[in-house]
Amino acid sequence: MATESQRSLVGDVLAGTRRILASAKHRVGITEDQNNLMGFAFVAPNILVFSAFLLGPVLYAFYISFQEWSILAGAGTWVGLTNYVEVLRPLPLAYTGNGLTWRPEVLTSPSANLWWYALKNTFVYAIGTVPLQIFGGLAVALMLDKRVRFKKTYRAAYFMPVMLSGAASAVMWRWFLAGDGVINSVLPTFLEHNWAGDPGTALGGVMLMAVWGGIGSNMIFFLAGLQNIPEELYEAARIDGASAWHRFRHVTWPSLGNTNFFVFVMAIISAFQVFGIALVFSEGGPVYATTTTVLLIYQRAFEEGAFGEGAAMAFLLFILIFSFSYYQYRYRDETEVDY
Amino acid sequence: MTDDSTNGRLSRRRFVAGLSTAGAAAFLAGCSDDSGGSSGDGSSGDGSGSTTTTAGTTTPMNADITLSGWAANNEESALVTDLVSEFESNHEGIGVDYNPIQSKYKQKLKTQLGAGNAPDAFYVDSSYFPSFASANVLLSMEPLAESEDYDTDDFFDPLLDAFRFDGTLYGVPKDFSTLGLFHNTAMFEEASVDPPTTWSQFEDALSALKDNVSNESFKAPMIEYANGRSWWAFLYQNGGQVLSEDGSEAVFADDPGVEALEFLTGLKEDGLLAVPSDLGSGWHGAAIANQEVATAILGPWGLPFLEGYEDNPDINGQIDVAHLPKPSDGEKATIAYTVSYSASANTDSPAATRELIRSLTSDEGMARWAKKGLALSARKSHADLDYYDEHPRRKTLLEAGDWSQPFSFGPKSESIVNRVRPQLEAAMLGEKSPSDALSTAQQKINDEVL
Repeated sequence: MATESQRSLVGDVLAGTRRILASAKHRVGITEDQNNLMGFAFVAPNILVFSAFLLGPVLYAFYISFQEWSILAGAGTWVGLTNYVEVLRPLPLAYTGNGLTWRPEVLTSPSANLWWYALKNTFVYAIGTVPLQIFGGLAVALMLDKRVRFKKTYRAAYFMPVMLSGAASAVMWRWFLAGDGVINSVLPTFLEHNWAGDPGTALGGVMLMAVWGGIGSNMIFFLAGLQNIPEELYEAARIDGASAWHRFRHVTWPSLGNTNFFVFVMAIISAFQVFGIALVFSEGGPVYATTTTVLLIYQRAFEEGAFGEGAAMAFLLFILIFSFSYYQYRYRDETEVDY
Repeated sequence: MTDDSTNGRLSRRRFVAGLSTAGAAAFLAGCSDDSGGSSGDGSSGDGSGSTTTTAGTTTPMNADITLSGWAANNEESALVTDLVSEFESNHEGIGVDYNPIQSKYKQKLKTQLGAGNAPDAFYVDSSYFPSFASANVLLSMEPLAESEDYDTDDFFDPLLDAFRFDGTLYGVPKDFSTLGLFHNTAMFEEASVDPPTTWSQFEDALSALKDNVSNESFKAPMIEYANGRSWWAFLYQNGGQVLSEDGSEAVFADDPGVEALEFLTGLKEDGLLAVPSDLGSGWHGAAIANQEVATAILGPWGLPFLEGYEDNPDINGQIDVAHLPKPSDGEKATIAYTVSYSASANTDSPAATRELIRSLTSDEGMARWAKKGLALSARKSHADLDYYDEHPRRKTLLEAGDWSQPFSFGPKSESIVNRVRPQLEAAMLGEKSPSDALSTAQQKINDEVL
């Protein structure tokens, strides 16, 4: 334990710091009303950790994306925009003598450009999983918000996949979807197929797994959202003679605006960042079928040691996710729900 | 804090005194954190390098060194711990700290090397060895190779070559694994076939197995990964190469490579070969053990699995290992996966580190390691060990060391392999013709990588 004199010393230091800050504030013209020292003190640990372990590395990665970087040498050579050009070329949209031409093969063939192909896979994945995760989660939440027997058991069952690690569920689903797996044993013979091993269906397998895992977590958010909706609104709607569908359409759905926004943005972001399940399910294969953008970044940087190229890809992905989230956020300001 | 008000105003002197006390405390805390890790550095007596030792190990050296690797299981790390503590008791003054890294070994080691805080000695897989050596992060092992009482001639040449870069040795083989033909002798007998020695015999044998094996678990004569692992061995057997002599160009899409891949895809098309996702088993060892297949091209790591297979303890006795079949006018070849003991170029104690590596790879050290049975001894003379007479399947795999080709293709090895595998997969799954697939991979490598 601190002795009396040490304690008073600490007190002195604090008081001194306060005085110095006060005089500094006076000089830059901050009034006492804006005295946020305590506030800053509270957020300081977070800001420090954030800067040291997130912001700093991110800025450094941005710097690396302009270099041909060797992690072993811990140094690189400046190559300007070369990494970005290498990643993006050939573009799916090309300017030829006759104006802009669309080159679909850049998106459909992994041999032309892996970045665009991986981005295409990621979009297919996002478009396929996000709506199902959201509406599936909402549907389950609506069902389990009612008085049903074993409600808690059902909730736990639907939430189970969320608690399972991605790697474990990927291994499980790889077995389910194998030529010899459980799925085939319940399908009629003419539908039997090696789902996990066929480049045409492997991404579908990963998507199925993502929907299965995503419904549970969205369900929890929607259940919380549903419980926030004031009962009076439903009462008023019933008195007005609204049917169940109308109550959902005009009370539940608009009142869930905040939840919808959150769930949608998070689902899109995590869809763009899909990595672990694709890696464990099939390591990006067969024949690049499940190579998503983040998986490609991982392979380039950490397997092949091309950190500059990997960092450039990561920033392109960041720009994509950031512009999407920013647009959503702006749009959102106009539609926020207040009860 | 309640007595804060009594201090109310404070003199500048007290404030400064307070600050410096806090500073000193932080400084001391910092120091005490470090002292554990760096205590050895000050006393390290062999910083000047390799001049200290002759082989006798009687010269006292003072050094604390660290050793890192991965451990397949507790038994393996226990053995390394034993070997290390014996080394310590024979080498007064040298302390060895053994820290196995359990996952993402390569990534972690790369980061440590880049940051300059790598262990002194560590494992390096031949597939990324050239990228390490070309970045000058490894310590030369030439002084060890040149020392009189250390016989590098005893190592299989292909394995030593795997750890040479620009003519300099940067690692000593720890062990290796070759691919051989694992086969179920009961099923072979049922189909009246002998282990094949040529590709055409192999194909005939697989057909006979397909028609004659009655075991109800049996699904296909052979298992192979969709990314065609054995293609690399078939390529060399057929006289092909992955890279040109000077390493400046990929040449695997020439005829020998295409023929080798056509051989494999032909087996797949004829229903003689299944990929893991066709079967219930995810890998060769399990497929063989479950009797889903009669053959698999597999390495010695499959043996401990079979030996300990509890679901069907009898199966181990039925599985034998033969050398890989080759084209009738082809060359003997197989793939060797090998790992070295290497050292960091930054080590403070190069002589002590080399001494540790010498001890771990010595005749005795390596024999004890090899007897764990996970991988093979890198020393040719060990073929005469009683252990290998008692374990003939491992002996077969060991013999193949002579004609093995390390799975390593220059400093850009990983980029090359990452571009070839998906194309092999495309051919195996019938998405592309073998020549198309290999040309695509070759062109991408020549354009993007080399």
